Amino acid sequence: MTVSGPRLGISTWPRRLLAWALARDLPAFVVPDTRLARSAGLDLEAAGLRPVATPRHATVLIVVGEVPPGLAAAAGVAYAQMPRPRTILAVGAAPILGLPPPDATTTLDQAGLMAGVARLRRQLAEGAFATEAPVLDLAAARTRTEFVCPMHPEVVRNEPGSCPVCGMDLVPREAAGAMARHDHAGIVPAMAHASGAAAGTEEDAAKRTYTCPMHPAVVQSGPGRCPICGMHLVPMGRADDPPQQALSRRSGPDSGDGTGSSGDRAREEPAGTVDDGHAGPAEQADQHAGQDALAVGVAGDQPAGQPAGRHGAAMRAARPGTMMDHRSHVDSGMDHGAHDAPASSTAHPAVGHDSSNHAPMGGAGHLVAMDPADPARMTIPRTAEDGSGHRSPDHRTPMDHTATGPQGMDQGPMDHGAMESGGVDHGTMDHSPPGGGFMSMVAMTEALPRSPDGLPMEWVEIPFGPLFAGLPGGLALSFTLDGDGVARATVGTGTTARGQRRGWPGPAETFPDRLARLDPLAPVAYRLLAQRALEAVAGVVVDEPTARRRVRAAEWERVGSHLGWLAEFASLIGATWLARRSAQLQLAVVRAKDEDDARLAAEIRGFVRAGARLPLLHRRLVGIGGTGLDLADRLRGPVARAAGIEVDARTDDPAYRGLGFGTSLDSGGDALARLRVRLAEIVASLDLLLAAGAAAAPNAPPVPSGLLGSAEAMVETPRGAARLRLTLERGAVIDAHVDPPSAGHIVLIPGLVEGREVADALVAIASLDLSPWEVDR
Amino acid sequence: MTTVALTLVLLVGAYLVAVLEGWTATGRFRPAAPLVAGLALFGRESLVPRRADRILFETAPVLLLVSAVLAAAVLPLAPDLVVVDLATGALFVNAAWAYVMVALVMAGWGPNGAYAMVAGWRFLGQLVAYAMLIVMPIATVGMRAESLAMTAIVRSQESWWNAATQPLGFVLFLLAAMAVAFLPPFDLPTAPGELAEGVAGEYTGVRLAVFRLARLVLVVTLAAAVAVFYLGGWLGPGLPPWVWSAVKTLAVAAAMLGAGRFVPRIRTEHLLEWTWKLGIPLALMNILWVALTLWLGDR
Repeated sequence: MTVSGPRLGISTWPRRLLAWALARDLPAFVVPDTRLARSAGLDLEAAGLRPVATPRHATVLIVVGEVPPGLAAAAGVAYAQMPRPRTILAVGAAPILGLPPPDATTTLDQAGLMAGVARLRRQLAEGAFATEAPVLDLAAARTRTEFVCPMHPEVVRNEPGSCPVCGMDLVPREAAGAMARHDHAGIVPAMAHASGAAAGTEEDAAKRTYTCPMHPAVVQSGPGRCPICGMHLVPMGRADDPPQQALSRRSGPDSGDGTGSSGDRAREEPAGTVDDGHAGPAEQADQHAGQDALAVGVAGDQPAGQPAGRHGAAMRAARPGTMMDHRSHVDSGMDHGAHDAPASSTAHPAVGHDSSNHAPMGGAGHLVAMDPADPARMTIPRTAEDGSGHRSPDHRTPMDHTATGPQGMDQGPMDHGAMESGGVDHGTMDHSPPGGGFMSMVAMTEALPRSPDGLPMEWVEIPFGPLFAGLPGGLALSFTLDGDGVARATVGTGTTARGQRRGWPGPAETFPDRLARLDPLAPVAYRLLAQRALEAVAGVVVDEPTARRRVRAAEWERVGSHLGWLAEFASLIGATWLARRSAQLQLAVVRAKDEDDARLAAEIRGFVRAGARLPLLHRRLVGIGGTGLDLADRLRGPVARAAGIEVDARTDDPAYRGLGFGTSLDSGGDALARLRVRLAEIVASLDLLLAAGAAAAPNAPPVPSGLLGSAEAMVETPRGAARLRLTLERGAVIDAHVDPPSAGHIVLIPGLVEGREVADALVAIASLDLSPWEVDR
Repeated sequence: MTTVALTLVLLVGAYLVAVLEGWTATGRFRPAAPLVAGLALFGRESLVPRRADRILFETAPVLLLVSAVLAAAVLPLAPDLVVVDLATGALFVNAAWAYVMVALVMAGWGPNGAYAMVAGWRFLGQLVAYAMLIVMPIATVGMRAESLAMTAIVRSQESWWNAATQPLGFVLFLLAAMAVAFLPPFDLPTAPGELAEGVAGEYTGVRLAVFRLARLVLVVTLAAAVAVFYLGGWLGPGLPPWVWSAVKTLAVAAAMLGAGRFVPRIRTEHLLEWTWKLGIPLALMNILWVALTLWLGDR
């Protein structure tokens, strides 16, 4: 019996003991996320698995349900990051491209899961140590080296050289490799400007405005030198972009790599990070002949004491210490190196220790954007209010050193001093030290925009997804962190693209089931949406028992969905009792045979009361995640109702009105209000279930044949109102267009998080209860 | 001999705290779980991230363990059961715990990973928050004992425990101890849901085992220090002194582990705000209170 990723070694008796322990203690990394696993009725802890937040701590990669190609790639990278011995458990999944064959494949139910885990245990106990280990070569985990200018991140080449703009030597940097990247079409259109526009090349360079870091009043449309001081001009945003958009845009090819490949790589190093002259490409070259990675100056970049090349990597990877490894790594140096190559790229994105990943130097000092209409005015980033005294409520005040208080005071003298010591003065051409290697932090951050707390930090671009523990699985976020605050954020959802839309045209009878597959988190709601649309086309009105039956199903799903959201949200904010309890209740709801389980309903009500009263919850959540009033029309569902906007598709439904339905509203529009609204909705749904009473389940009314026409329908999914426009011809669907609530909410993310501390940013995003599945693009 | 015995006691204590932690986290009491998990950790390979700062990466878990063990060296289990009864023991534990910060910042920077880096910085902020609150209550227990030696501090509580006479200092020290051990709700550097295990996220295999052991030993020493400073150490009727010490230490550890489960993780800005705007004035009031009570007691 073998496992897919055994540890190398001969199975001696101490190792058999360790293998037994490995089989008993099974930390698992869940793909896509634990909420989906629970909504499929799987109780991972009862099966003996222990969900963990990072693949580095996992032995089992458990894949639940059908995995889209984008997520499969991310799962492959997660698998590569797991330490050996590692296994894959596929629960209810079709063969997964991009991953090795699973060690156990089971049906999507608890019994199947338990059987699969038992099989895994046997396999681990016997096969955790093996004399031969397969080499893992995943397309998604391959990287290649590109060369970028430290001062101008938009200049990217495939071989070493000098930067055409400033003449510095290009430094090597690792980037996503052979696999085709998701292109920008995979990103929600409103975000396109953020990635597409800024992915500058030399051709784009000519179209941009350029300004002098010392003299922001100097603006011209192409690169050149400042007429006042002679410095090379640095690019700003496009001339026609408003400053706010210039802010949320990301710089250089990082955007292209980061967004695209954040779909490819779960938590790989973002493109914009380290130059890697080290063992990574050297090892890879052994596997991928023909890569030009070896062209990188490996020897020159090695720090002293670290042996270069494959053996060095192998020795580093094979951990000295346990005597068990000494025997194994000698004959398996290659293998250690091989799996170390993708694996040792950190599970979590790398932070460059050099200058190659800082944001472009735009503007002088703490100025961040030019107002193209009036070059003398500068704007500061639009940031969320959090009570810090540094924020200026009027975000269009002209910045001058005296007006900004502490910020101004430490900018003024420090800037000039820094510039001097950084080698930037009015006469010379560039700020870089010779060789383009090391830059002091002061020099590197001198021209960066200052975050609201006034602390200059290097900007690092980090992916948070698509398999990040605190966020919905499939949401590929990328934050540019300024210290621990988010300076910019971009979102990609290409990882959940399954091409569902292609399967929608077809017979009308099966259309509800096909639409229900759109969102595994809310199948009942989407099935209902399809049924309603079909009935609208046919002009049919359902009778009351059927309507009541539908209300019960929809509300039961809503209870389960909100509990599932709460479990993930509570584990994000660290309220472990709340998380555990709501996970248990969600499972109970999913598994309940009927919606009339009075005891369960009472338990849920009691839990909601206790949860709302959790100490310090108010303080943790208040004021986080508020959207501006100008975005109010994009909000739907609990997010809208938490902002006091009374929109609910159920108010127009006579069945709901007959049961005494009332919307749950809250004012505040922040994460706390959204939590409260969802808790209130759980109770309201339970009340509706009680009012609807136990009804015999009539069969679904048959869909009339030969339907013709088009109609719209709307349903209140747990995340908000979803609309469907359906066109039928001769009893078959020929066109269907769904407008899911998450599509509107995803667009809000950059505005929600910029300026926030990273934990608060994650809370804000999680409070939206997004489902990347229903966006499916 | 005492050293060996106390090291064993420390390890047993760490194991018991691990069982307690599993109990509070999962709700199930599984005494063999830490052993199995530890063996499994030895069975997994220990990866080194690419471009890691090797020295920092390797040193961090060991330094965390060393700092906890150093603190344990001056904590008395019984009047005659202490490795080193330093005259400045109460100050020494604080110096030892300072290395927790060094270790975690190393663990943050070393792996060359963004999540770990952010988590390491957060712990720096946490240090700024708890540093005063760890030291100031120690000053007051030292005032009562008129000595900084641990055994003297315990002996000074023969009439009344410090928890009763200095309740404010007790609460502050207990909270600060939770912050030193980065237990929930102060688990900013290892936030599982927020930063994918933070500083611990890049460690695997043996190194992770050392990290986890170090954290458990740290919890034990902090709980033992709370027991020594505020709960009368080995004092108690009936049972042998070391049993009392053990019971009190475990009780404090259980309280520290269990309290945070019901409260969300604290925000960095709140942590700093509350400790500096509320905690330090309270600690100063505590000092004044103790000074008054001691002065009035003398008269």
